[in-house]
Amino acid sequence: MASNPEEDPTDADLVARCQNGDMSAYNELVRRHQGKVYAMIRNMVKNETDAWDLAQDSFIKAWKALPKFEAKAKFSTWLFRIAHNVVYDWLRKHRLERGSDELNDELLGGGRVDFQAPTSPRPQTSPDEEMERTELRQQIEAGLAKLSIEHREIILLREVQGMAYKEIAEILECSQGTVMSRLFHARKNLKQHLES
Amino acid sequence: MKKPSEELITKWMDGELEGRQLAEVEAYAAHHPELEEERAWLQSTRQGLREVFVADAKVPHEEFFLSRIRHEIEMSGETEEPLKQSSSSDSVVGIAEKKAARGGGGWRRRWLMPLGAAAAALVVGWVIGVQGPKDETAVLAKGKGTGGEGVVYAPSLAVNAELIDSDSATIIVLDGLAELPATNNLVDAGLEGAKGNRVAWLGGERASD
Repeated sequence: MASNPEEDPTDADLVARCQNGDMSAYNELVRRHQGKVYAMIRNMVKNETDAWDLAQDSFIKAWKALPKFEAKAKFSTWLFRIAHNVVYDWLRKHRLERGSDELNDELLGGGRVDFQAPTSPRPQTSPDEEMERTELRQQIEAGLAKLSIEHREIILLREVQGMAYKEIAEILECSQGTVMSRLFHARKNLKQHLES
Repeated sequence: MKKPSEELITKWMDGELEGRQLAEVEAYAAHHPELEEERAWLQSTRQGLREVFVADAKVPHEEFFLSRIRHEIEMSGETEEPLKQSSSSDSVVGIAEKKAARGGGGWRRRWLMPLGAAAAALVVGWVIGVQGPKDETAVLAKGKGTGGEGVVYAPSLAVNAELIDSDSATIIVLDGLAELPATNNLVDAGLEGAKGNRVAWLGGERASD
């Protein structure tokens, strides 16, 4: 059954309205996608305040770029590509300011954020289970923090966001072969870091 | 037997192979148990990753987040749509935005703006008199006055707020903020008396701190 664009507009419907200058349609798009964009950026920069600012920048840039959006990709994928560029620009700027070639753990926040978002209620667990979880969490955070930013990002896009290779390739503007190859090495590195 | 390519191994680990390619990798894995081990490791790690990192998170101060985007777009002249103030928290934000527009850029911790705005609102008759973090939404203080309902937001539950209302002045003290850079334009944001991780706003008079 076809959806009623008035009651339940698709992203494409809303994008078309935005392209005619309808700001209320853009509000709806932001509401739909802000949680995922914010979560991805927060996972990347590991700092809630910067993630909040960068997510905003991403949506502002997306609005400005909307007239050029041709729906070759899904709106959400296109939005993630913009967020990816915003985060990389930010990281590059910080790297220049710090005069360092390395995006080290200090820059990426070093575990300042509790990633257990309030929107993800968890079932009650025993103290032993909770302790195991805490340990696992610390190990994984530490392991991921040691990865290069490219490897960290591809692990997050694939394993956390659950994106397909094609979608990741569109976000990173590379081939699917590159995505798979990078994923292969990112996983190997993560395993090494977790085992060491 | 020739080792499958990295791409094929990745797809096999993700369960995305079929037909001849699947048979090829399975045959190789049968003689290389480390591949099976890696696949099992990946499955358990994937589970761990999803427990540690969420794919969808609640944006702090959602209405303020949205109104800032609308404001930035409007300020850039990219839309002809007027800003629509639809909620009470929006009206608080609206005051902060006018101050920001006058003061220009240079303020990185944007969510401090509603604090300054709410403090300004106190001076013109809003009644707010609560102390400390109230709930998990990080609303530090709220109240109802002749101007409507006001809300004071803060960036973190770790921040403690103290509101002191006297005959001559109203003071908001925030304790536990991240170190504020000297470049922050706190006066334009309506915040005064910033020192280290402590900010005091004095309505009616300048803070002497």
